Amino acid sequence: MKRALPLIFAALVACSSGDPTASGPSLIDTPGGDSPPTDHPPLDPTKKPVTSAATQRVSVAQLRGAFPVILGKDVNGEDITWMVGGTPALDKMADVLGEADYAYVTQDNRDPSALYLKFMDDAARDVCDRALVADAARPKAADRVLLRFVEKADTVASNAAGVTENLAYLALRFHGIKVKAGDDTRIAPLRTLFTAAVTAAAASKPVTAAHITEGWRAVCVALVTAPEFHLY
Amino acid sequence: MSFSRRRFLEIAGLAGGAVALRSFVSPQLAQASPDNPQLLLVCYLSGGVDQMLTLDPRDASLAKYQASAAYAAGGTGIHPAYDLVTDSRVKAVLAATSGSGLQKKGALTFGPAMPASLINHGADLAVLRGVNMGTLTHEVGRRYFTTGKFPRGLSASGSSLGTAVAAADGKETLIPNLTISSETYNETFPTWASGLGGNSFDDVLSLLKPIGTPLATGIDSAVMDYEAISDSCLQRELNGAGLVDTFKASRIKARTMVSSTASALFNFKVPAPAALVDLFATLEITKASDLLASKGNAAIAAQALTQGISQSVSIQLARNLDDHDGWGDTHATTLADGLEALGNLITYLKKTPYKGGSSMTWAHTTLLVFSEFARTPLLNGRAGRDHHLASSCLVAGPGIKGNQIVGATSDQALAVRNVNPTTGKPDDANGIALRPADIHATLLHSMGLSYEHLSNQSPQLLPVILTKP
Repeated sequence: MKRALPLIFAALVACSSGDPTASGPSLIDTPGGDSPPTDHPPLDPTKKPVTSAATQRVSVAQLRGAFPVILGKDVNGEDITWMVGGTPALDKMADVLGEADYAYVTQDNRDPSALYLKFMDDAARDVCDRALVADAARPKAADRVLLRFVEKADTVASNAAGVTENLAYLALRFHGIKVKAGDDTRIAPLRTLFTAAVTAAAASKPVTAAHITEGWRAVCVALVTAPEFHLY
Repeated sequence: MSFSRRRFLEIAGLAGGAVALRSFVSPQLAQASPDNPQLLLVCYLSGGVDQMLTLDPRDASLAKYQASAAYAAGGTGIHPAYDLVTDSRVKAVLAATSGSGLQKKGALTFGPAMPASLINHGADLAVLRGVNMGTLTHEVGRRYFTTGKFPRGLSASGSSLGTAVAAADGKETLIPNLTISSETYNETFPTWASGLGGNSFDDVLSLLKPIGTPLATGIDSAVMDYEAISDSCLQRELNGAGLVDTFKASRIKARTMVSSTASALFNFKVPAPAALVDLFATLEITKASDLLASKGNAAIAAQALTQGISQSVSIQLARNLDDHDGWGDTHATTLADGLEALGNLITYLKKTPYKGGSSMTWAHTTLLVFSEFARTPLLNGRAGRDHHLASSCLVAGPGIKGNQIVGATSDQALAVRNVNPTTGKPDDANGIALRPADIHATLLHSMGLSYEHLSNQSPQLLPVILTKP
């Protein structure tokens, strides 16, 4: 236990920087600025922690809405969503994913079950594939969804700053987490993942753009299958 | 409604003996082991079953059950109307039984829609009659029998029987609690015991195989390495009730399922692949459409149980039994198809070793067959039958005495009759009204498992069907 105390303390300190009531930039951006809004009365510090609604899993309807917003449009200009055999899989598998049909099932099942997570694995690979294909056809970085701050040949070795900036951007885009400039604790694991995936794809051969794309695919899949994506 | 009626009986002292017994029941500890697995097969008949056609029949040749007497003032209020059933199997039974429709096997008596494939296993089967469902609402009855606890409104209360069994001994199995076209709940047991499945073998396949192109092996490992260390502040904020932990455990389980080779066991097609020839022949699967109906569900259960994929399997054996109209045209056929598949499934489990070992799978399998309620003993104005409280169910298992009928419904409008849980005989004065909670507790006890999660239902064991009361 004694050994764990410094780790717990470090974790609390690290997380406290995300406390929306603390001064300084918030980890979570909202359209109106930091949360709570500036006209919110001061919170009573003796009543911390502020509690809110219980955590729940996103519904299938929310996934339908979220995928196109987060992943953008495919090469044909269609909203990106999970497709299987040419049909929207979130519709095809709605019952298995827990959506009520109001005929036999009258309540959504929002358990983050193994069944749900298995299909979210499948969904993540599919939507990330098509987002990457779409990005490959967009010469201007500002138009891209996944490769917004890097070029397709950039690696940690060739453009560390760009990769880091892109990972921070993806953390915000997928999880709503704003990573402060210079805060590497959140980005380092993603950067390790990116590099490991590129290395695995290259398999001891010279790294090509295709291998780097596999690195971004892995990052995208990891973000889409993370608890931060599915729970709120 | 069931509770208030039961509670009234208890307060009135009419079920005093039963109350005393309930209070002193001590759950046993699990006795399962790798050499003696406790498997569970739950079969659901969806829509509400006409029990007179199967588990709780009446002699249709008797004058008191003819329409003229049944509908008359002061009549029995029971009209089996077997002669109105168009199913050829029922007609054959009527012809062979001089119109009574009663099929006997040992101490058991079944209705005319009970198929021979299931009747032949009568020595293993116990029929529980007069189960008080306490509801005429599909969702409530279905969830009541699924969990053994009366729902809160329409919402299920408690955990599925399959979840309880899987939680006891199924952690090492690939899909501890497989559910096909069945509802499943988990309120108090570990997440890994929650039901998984879908509606067909295709859904099972899609559970065990990646859809689309998988990540390359090394990249997949990199993602999992990242997930193993990923621990953001947001995750900690969201984990107040342990939902993030649940999420991560489910994600690991999902990956384990996909990385297995079990999908080959469910690669069903017609004609049958070599490895499935005996299974398909036993289950009489001859065309592709069979795979998407009760026979296909039975095949999934057979594979999951015999190959040790699952500790607990719940399947839907029949659907669309809610025959408020045209009961005579469809009900018996749908019911008999489902029960025939069950009979053949039991045959397969009896001749197939568990995981290729020395003992047959059936020797380890406890069975529950139920519906959400029964159907009215009189036909309505549309030649259909509506919802009826007094239901029946079928149970079997290594800890269950077969060839027994427990409980009864009355000969006046098929009302619930109280039963003596020790003798199994009707006892209107001092017996108890059978409830799903009693049946769950008895089955769990027969498997050597705890039924403490049902304690707030005051479950009553039924020693009469236990091999080790």
